[in-house]
Amino acid sequence: MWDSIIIKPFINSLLLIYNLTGENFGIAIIVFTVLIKAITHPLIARQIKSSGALQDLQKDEEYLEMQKKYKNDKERLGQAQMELYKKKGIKPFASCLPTLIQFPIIIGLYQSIIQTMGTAPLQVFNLVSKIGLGMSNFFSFIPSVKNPFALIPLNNQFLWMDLSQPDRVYIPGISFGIPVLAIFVVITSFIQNKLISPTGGDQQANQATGMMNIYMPLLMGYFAYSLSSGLALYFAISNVISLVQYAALGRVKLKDIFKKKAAPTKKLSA
Amino acid sequence: MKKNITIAALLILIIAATLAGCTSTVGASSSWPGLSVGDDLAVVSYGYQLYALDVQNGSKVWVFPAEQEKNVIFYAPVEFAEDMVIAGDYAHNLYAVNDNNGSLIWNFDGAESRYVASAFYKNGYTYAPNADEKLYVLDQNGTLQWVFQTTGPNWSKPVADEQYLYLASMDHNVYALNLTYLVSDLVADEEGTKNLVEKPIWKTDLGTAIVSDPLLVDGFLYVGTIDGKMFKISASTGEIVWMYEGETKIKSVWTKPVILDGVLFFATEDGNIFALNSETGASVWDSPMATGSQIVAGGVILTNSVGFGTIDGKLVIVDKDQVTSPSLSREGSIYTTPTFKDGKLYLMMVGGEKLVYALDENGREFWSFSTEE
Repeated sequence: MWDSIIIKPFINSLLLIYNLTGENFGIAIIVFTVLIKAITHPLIARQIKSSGALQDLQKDEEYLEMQKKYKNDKERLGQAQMELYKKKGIKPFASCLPTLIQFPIIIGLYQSIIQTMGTAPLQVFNLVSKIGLGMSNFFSFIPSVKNPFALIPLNNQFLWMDLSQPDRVYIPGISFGIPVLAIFVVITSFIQNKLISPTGGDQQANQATGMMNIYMPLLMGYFAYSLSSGLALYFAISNVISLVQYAALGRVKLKDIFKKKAAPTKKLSA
Repeated sequence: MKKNITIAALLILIIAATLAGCTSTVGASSSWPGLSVGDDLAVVSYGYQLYALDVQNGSKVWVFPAEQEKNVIFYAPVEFAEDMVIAGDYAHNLYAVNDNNGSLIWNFDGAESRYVASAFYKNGYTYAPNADEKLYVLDQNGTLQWVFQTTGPNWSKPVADEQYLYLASMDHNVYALNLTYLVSDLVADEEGTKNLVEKPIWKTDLGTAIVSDPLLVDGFLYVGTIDGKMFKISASTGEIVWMYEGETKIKSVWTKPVILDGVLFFATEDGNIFALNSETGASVWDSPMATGSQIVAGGVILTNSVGFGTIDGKLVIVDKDQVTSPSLSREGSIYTTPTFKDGKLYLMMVGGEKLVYALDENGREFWSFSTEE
């Protein structure tokens, strides 16, 4: 079911884009990621707005007062927070729902890219079994659209990379390869995390956020370093598009990126 | 304080597990094992070693290399070549191994990619197709004689008659080449070495990639393609005699076809077995035989019937009148083309209790082998 609803349509779309973009898989990954991000933009916009409103609320005087007033009564604090959300028109779970809806799309996109890049027999066998003629028949009015089977094996070469292999750039005089894309993924993940993480929370929350801001980019960097560069390219493009989306919605404040978080509010619990 | 940090750590772990889970196929097995059966030995190519088994009782005669090495991985079936077996690995090495004791005779490391297909041996020459878009031809000592450049990876074992060598490539073409070339017939490669064949005797474009081994019978090649077509091609001219794609489009062909009593049998990826008149290409049956499971392994000719192994672990047996015999099955999946030789049927099962079974046609077991033994 997962294959029929998500993976097969994604793989066939990816092949169609590959076909229409000069049979370069790197360009196909970029275009496909941009398209998926554009399609899911309304959901992301809703999520960004909701989480932004929640962040802004944490600086609200009424909110801060309430934290002080009910610091020893969590139940009452919860009720008061819900009333405040209602009063300000904030739906606290509105930022979760778009994330949940996007999640299968992101995982599907990610799996489709992995499966389409296969260069060994078992991988190509699995890929070929998912190819259908529907998409190419539908777009057959475009003269350059080929039978998708004729596209196999795919051209995995993009810039300096073989997209089915981990990315390394070898520079004369240096004995090891430099993982350029992995470094780019770490930097863009760091910036993205910095921009989306909530500010002005309590000390505990800020510590947890700080931990995420450091470990998540490192984790993404590790995956980009050790997996095929096609996936690293997807991570990189995805991060860049997310930054553009945040900027378009006015949530990017470049000065915040390397600035320490604002002084935390006092720890609430005794 | 601990609670928030624990949540953050858990979140990182969940994301790591999700990403790792989604990419689990990347590091997993990338192909299926190879099996070659000679007069005395059955050689299994699977993972880090080759296992040579005595065909009489399945006992291990030798393994190669004696100790596992990190980058040496075998999937391509070996080729028997007089007193050697020729084996290509997934790095870029082609080994000639003494068939008596498994000792290394020579090693050719001139390729740049993996050996997916078996090499082919004839008259002292080894013809080794590689995924680096080249066919390497070596003499008895493993010295490179000449190279043929294709424009796609080569995953099919070449075949030959007394006149030409035939190579089917993922670049969509079938090529005919001379069996030998004089140095004066060759041109310089990128590095200036004069070892490259300038052009084939003929080439025929079949439209999509060829990943299955071609069959050569009585001057004709039978070749299946990944877009679900079966071709009969004249070996002398490269002319397409007929092409079969079914009334409704059939699925991709990964199996080497077989011919029994003038009927060509092949199977498609979705598990349908087809029987065609090898002369005319017309379907012999009213409809293909559905096995209910995917098929990637080539057909095997039994006494009066043919068998096709399925991924759900059955060897489906059928004759030209579409009369079936009870399927043979063992635990695991069949990806490797079975062999029937001297009354023994060799089945290779992936993911089962045992890796190789030697059976009679009724499924009675002579012996079985597991790499753990």
